[in-house]
Amino acid sequence: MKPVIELYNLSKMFGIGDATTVALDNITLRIDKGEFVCIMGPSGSGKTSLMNIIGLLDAPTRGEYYLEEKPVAELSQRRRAKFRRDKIGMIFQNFNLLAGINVIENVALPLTYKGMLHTRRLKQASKLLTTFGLHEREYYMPYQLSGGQLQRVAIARALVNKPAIILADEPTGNLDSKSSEIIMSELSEIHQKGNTIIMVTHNPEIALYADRIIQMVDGTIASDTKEPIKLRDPKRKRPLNSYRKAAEALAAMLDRDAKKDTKKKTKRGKK
Amino acid sequence: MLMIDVRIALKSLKATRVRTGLTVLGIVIGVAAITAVLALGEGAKATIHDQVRQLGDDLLTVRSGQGTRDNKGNLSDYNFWAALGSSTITEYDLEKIQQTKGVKVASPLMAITGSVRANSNDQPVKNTSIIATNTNFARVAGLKVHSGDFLDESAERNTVVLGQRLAIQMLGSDTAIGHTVYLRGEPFTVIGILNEHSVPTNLSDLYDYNRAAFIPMDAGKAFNQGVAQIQQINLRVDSGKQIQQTARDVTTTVSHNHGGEDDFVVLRPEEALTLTNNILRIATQFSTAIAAISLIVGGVGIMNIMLVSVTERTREIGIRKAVGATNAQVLRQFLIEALVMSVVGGLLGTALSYGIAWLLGNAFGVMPIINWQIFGTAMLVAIGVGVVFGITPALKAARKDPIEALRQMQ
Repeated sequence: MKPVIELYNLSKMFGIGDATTVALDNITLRIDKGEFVCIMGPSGSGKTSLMNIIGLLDAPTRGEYYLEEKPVAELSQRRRAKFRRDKIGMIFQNFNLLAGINVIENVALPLTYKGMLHTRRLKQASKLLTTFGLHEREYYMPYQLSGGQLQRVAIARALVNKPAIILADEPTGNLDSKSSEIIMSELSEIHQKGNTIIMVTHNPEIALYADRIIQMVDGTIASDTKEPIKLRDPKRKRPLNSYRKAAEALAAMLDRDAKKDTKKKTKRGKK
Repeated sequence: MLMIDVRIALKSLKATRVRTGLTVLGIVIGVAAITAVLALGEGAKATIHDQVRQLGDDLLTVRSGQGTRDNKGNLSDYNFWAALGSSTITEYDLEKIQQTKGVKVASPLMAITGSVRANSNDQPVKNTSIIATNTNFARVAGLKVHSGDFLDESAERNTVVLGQRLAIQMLGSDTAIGHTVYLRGEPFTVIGILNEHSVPTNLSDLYDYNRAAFIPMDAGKAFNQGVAQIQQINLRVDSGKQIQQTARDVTTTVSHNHGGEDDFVVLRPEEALTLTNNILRIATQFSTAIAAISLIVGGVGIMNIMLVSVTERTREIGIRKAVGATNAQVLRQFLIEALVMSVVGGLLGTALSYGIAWLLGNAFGVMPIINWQIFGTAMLVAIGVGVVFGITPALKAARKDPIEALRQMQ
């Protein structure tokens, strides 16, 4: 598999002097094409900082970042914006749709910045909205839609440019469980079509949709496992037993992995 | 790409209609003020040119003062202040000019300061002029006699021809031939009263013929210790086509009389109005400068609203950047919003200015003219205001950090 994202010894610091906070501490990570990665961890563990750097909204203090094997460290502001537009689709917890324009214009927004003609980009956006079952809501304003529908619009917007990676920051954080399930099955479907997805979540039930789970603690990667696949029904791509049991199993698994990793690190430290 | 930006801008502006409308109003008022002043200035200029045309293309004025002409024979520099000094034009000049080839008829103009009274005990009439001249003056200046006769060769020394308004004001009639009036205390017999003269601008900028008393040169000289103090000589040439040549001939004649001293100018009608035009230009420039202040206020309004808008829309800027807008695209979006407001303001302002200028023009008797130059100037100024006052907020928007911008909404 080709790597989509490669991070080498990546660090991110905020503040200066005594007030320096380390958000990311020497992270090395490779994500291949077609992976569905979930990043978990407590608040302040550096999840969002990592997402911001991967999403080219922020630059690391140290370390290297390759996106589709291209170094992005020395890109100009303008090139970074173009990379964001063409290579990255972002999905946010609070949807981040523009309130003043209708659904279809929101979806077509990234195409606008590509300079695509009005009719063409609306056609493309419409096609995508149809696959999300929102064809009839195209000309609604965002405030006329439910949370689940809004998030589907946001996903459509993230996909409209056919990006190399989709970054989802707590995509179900503002949704009820039923809407969450719909959104997650949409994301699973997108993943099955070959898209690379990186998702941040607190919710272990949601994390089970991913096939790789990275747990972060204090700006470092505490564990990195591909085991959640075992907990899933391979056909339905959904948790094998009840959500609760699966989540419990996952939590136990992550806990074990984290301890293992810590031990390794301690041993290395002793040597 | 520009169309896309304009569409985005229009959408954003539509979202805050009242605020946008009020901001545009600031520009409308500024542009309307400037355009109205310019349109009135242009209208006044046109009125004067029209009147010059009515005077005819065969008219020349010889006046004291200094002027230089360029190669094409156009007056490039005219020191009109010199014309206010003691005149250098003499009766001998008049005599010689009348003999110059191509000159049809010539008449002097000698203005005399002094009181005009209906009776020797009355208060002097205000705003009148006493003009000493000869019989040709009516022909040269295009004056028509309403009753009686104009001055002629056989006229007695103490005779006077009155402008119509002066006659009506002073004597209560425009047929009061034979009455006696008092000029500088001396009795003069009214031998003629002129028709209303419809060209307010005449070749002697300062005198209103409708309120003037015309007396023979001899009488004028008698008021001036027997010396003819001629301000200017007006003359008609045989043919308007030959006017350049005749002007040169007249110049040669007078120059010869004055021993080659460059102390006079021969002016064509439009040149004779240099003083009026200069005053008009200065007045227009001055008024435009004052009107420009209101446009600056309008511009500050745009800047203010755009700065508020940028702060309010931090979230939007963050989203746009997150989905791939470059700094330049964000800058362009906000700049175009400012420009849309200023251009719409410019268009509405120009339309409004025509109404204002028309109302003012009716009051002052000048019809405003909005030509492409004025329209272009107004629009350029409006666009300039949009750019100058829109760039700071647009830069502020473009430089927003997307992470900060996205965080602000949470």
